[in-house]
Amino acid sequence: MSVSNQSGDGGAGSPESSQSSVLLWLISGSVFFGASFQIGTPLIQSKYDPGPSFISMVLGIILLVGGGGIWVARFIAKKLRRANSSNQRPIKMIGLVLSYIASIPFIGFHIATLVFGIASMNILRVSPKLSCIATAVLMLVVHLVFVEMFGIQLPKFSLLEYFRA
Amino acid sequence: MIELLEAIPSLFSLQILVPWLLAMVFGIFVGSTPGLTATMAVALIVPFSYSLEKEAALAMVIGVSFTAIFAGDIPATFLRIPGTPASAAATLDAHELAKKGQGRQALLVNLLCSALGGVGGVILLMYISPALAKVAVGFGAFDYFWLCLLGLILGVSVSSGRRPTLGLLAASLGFAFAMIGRDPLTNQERFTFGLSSLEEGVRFIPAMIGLFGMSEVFRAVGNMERRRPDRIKAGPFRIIRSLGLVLRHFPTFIQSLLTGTIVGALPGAGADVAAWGAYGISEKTSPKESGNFGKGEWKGVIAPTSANNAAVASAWIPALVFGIPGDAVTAIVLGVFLVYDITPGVELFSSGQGSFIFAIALVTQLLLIPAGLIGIQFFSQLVRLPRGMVLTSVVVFSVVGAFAMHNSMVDVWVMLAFGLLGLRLENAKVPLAPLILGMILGPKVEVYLRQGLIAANGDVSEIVASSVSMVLAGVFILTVILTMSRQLVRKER
Amino acid sequence: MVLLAANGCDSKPTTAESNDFPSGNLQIICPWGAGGGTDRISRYFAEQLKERLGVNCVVVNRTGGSGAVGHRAGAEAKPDGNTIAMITAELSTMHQLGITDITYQDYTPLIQMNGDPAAIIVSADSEYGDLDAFLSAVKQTPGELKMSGTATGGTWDLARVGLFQKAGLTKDDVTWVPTKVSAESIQMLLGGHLDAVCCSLPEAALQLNGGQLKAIAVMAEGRDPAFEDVPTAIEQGVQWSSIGWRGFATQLETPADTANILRTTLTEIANSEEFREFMNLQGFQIDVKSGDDFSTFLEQQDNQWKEVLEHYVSQ
Repeated sequence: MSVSNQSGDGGAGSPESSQSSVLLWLISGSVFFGASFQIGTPLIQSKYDPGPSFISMVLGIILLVGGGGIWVARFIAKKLRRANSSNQRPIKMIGLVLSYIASIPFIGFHIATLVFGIASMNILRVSPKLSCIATAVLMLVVHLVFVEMFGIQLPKFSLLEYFRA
Repeated sequence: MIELLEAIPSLFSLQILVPWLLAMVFGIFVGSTPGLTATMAVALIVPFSYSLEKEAALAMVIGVSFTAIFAGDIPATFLRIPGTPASAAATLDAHELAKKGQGRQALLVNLLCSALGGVGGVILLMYISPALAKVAVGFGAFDYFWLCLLGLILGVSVSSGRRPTLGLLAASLGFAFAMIGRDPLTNQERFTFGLSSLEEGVRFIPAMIGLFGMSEVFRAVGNMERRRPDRIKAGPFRIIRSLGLVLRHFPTFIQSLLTGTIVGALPGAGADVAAWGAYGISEKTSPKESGNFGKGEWKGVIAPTSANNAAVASAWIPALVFGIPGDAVTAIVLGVFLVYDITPGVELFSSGQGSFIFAIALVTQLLLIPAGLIGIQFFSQLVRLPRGMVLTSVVVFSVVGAFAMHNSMVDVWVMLAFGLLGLRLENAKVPLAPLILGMILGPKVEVYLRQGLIAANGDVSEIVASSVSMVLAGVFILTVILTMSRQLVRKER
Repeated sequence: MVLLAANGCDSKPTTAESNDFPSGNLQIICPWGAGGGTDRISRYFAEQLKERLGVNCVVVNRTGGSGAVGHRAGAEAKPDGNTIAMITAELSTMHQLGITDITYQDYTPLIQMNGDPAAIIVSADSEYGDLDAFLSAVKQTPGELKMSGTATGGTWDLARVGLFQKAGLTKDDVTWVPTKVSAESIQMLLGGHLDAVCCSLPEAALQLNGGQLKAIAVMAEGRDPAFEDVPTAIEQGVQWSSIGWRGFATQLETPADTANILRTTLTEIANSEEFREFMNLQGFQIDVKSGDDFSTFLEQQDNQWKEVLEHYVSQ
């Protein structure tokens, strides 16, 4: 997942400006190509099986060649443009979702969702009162559908379990 | 045929119709919740159905299995979150239409195509099953290899518009992501970097929710102007209007119906290959509109949606003739058939039991319309809530849905990572659909290629030994040439 | 020993002395996909547990690596008794193949409920009428015939290697075409792409009863009551049996009394008349072992496969 992590500047660029994807192809290509050599040979493998690493090498090469090709083409055409994003809200939202997901295993799904719901609606300009009501309804629906109906074990606040025991 | 007509009236009793319709509405709601799949809906309804009479039980289970794909199209249209791999094909144009305020119209057309496609699929199922099933099991590993590769390139070609190179790279990247985890043929670990949480690999449902849904949320957050409200209300009159739209593109419908039936009958292919194949074929056969595909073209809605429900019906062909289920839903339904002593085999098609099942399958297509309308109506009310609420709910449901798939936080992180990846890729004008297509079809391509090579004792020339392989390989090469020439032509201009 | 809350409609269980298990929803981790045999048995038990323990119980399919993924997920889940692991025959072989480090010693075994022997299955019009004819054809044309049933190194692949070994053949005397699930192999056999399939009889029951396929040998001590006319390999002179078994286990650190509640309930279900009917319908054989019997069996299985695998890997 090293590929996706480098997308720190995920601003919604204006339609005209577009970022270059060259780096993405080159990085993912080299990661997959390089890591192909780390795939072990199975203890037992059919004589005629090209093996578990064959296709991944091919894909790595395609990504590297393609990324390189686009880079060369862009270099010649000198069309390499950089996006300038001015809107901060997506970054806030990404940060919020990130901390929401990260906190679930520790404070449990319910509390995390409560905090996230109100905070997120606040960023998105829903009035505080409405945010609270909507979050409560949302949690109720999620609880009914996932926990009661589908019997999913959503992560719980571990301290709560501690008290019960 | 007479038996079939006799069987239908016996289904119209309240004890059957009520649980039947309720089950289908349930299927629609489950299938349209991000992260919950039709397989889960069917699995949940099965134990419940055993408490009912045989007729009602079979009707419920068959009914739910047919809501699978349409249900996934609802969030695909409104929120760009496809519920099933097959829905991903319909997402492209339907979501564009929704952005233009035609979401409900798109779903109505989709609903009609699904129902009509289903009817067509069931009728073909009844009459050409034994013959088609023989052809289907005759398909060897290399035949499937070419078929899946062709489905892949057709999908890439149509969904990447004027940027086939980027589409091809995206598909390769998706294919590479799909290789994370265990090699299906030798169980060797690949790209797990020693992490046991990566052992299960990157599953495509969380990846799909992230790539399309989450990235759309992040984008929408930065661009908060009100979406144009839907101008069209769902209702009887609108259905007639939608029927008009379907009739205007009748050749596309028939062509997709046949594609869906044939591809769906192949146990190694399935509804996803069918939907993408039909989508690709309809673009290639309509040169006038081909530039509009992916931008809200009605043919782009009609083709995949009629093909995928026809494929759901014809997935029963190998299941009912040979007892070989092509996917999990069919496998569960087949298990229920066994409980009621309905045994697969050619004889089933001429027996009373056979016509009973087909009667249920046909009436199910009719019931799909009211059940689907309820779903469309409900969803279109939901998306009219304040945008901030909708987006927040989408995030929460995506998180819980991704978690609920396997009670695992890894899937949730995968979803977020793909959300960021999707945002980054779209900023770089890289089409997203090929990436998901690479994830879905890539593993099939790899497995069939290696199976074929092993079975051929390493003889590479066997790869085009059968006539099916030769034809498919020819069409594949033709498609590649046509697609790449589009890029060159653009450059010269 | 412990009171069991058997009130199916009430969602809160009545508290048993000293142990309030189960305190929440249960899950069964099934290492195989939805719709397959292992999944169907898991779902049957989930329903029954729900009725008997009064809490929701769901089946979570965690597939991949011929069961490696699901077995790990089951062994490494939170040891509070809320997660029951479905374990299958692959547990005895996977770690010896270097696929995973999970062994039967990483679980508290609960019960075994099923065991279906491997069988050699050919198409109905095949020239091989019995095991002898098939094995001598293999001997005469080494590497020519094609077989399938699972992934390379999967249970059924090892079963036929064990059979070959006892019959004086080697693993490369046929080409093993790997597949993900046996249904795929059966499809290839029906399409004429293979000469034989090695899998359990119930997995091919529809096609066997439908007359498209026939079984020439079953690798068990005795014949399968549901397929009385299929002779065993031992009857045909090859001293070899191979069982694809299924069972339940829980995590190593699960408290003993919690594990006992689960074991008692699961054993009750496995010995019930409804379970017998269910298994008959599916064509699966019932083979119930619990407690020490099951542990001993697991140990035996590990040893049985060690021999076969040494032979397999060395070649």
